Amino acid sequence: MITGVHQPLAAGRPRSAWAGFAVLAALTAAELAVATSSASARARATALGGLLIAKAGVVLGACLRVSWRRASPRLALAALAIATGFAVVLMLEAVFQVRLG
Amino acid sequence: MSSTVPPVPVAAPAASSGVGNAGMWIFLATDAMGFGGLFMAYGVLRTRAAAWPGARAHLALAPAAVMTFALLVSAFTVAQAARAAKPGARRGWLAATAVLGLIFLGGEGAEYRRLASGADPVRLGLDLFGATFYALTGYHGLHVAAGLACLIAGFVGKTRARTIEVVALYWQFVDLAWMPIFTFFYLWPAR
Repeated sequence: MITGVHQPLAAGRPRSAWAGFAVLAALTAAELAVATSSASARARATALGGLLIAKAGVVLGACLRVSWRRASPRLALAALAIATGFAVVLMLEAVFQVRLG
Repeated sequence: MSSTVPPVPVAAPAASSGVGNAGMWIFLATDAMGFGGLFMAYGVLRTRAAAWPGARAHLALAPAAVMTFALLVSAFTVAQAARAAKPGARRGWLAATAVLGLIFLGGEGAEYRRLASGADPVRLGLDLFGATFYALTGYHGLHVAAGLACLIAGFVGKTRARTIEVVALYWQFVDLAWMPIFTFFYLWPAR
């Protein structure tokens, strides 16, 4: 028998769904505020990168209810983390104009 | 002579849901690699490009923000659909999710039309910005359309709660995949 690979969505409490949604909405509003602010491009890129990681964490933890202890979500998480990490690093590199070597 | 028959192991009721969830997670893992490849291509192309247009040069932020909030709300409504005990309530939450998904797709279609017909059109084969934008948003849009079909099937047919739970898992992933697209294309500052 294959046991559940993540905590079933049905097991969550409605309050946690509301909280997750409220946090995501707040983070998205913060993204919009950062993007339209007059801060430097570097500061905005850093803040947006952090907010994106926070949003992804909320979706994975509160909405998808993934657990690192289980194999299938771990596979998906590894793929997501590597790809997003590469993209963020490459674009931070573009913004900060860092050149190695 | 009396013989005792060993009890036959019976699958727990949650087994079917577990199998469905496991299958969906394996699919999502492969799908995440697809998105990951596109994101990496976008990152490399943007980094290596001599110049890259700012987000506001072509794209409209306000409609994209509305689309993003529609998708966020739909992630909440689909979670409620998966939790709903009564079929009527489940259908209601599924319908709400489908409407929000349609709003998102409609917004995306309107954005494509505006980009293609503007004074400074953005087309697939015109430049790297257009190519990566259409590839990523189009790939994501296909996922939304597929999820929408599943939601409508769940609304119309007599879909079990377990199936809705698996669909909800997929929809949450689609919501997750939109987040970097929104950030990188609509919000990220130009060089």
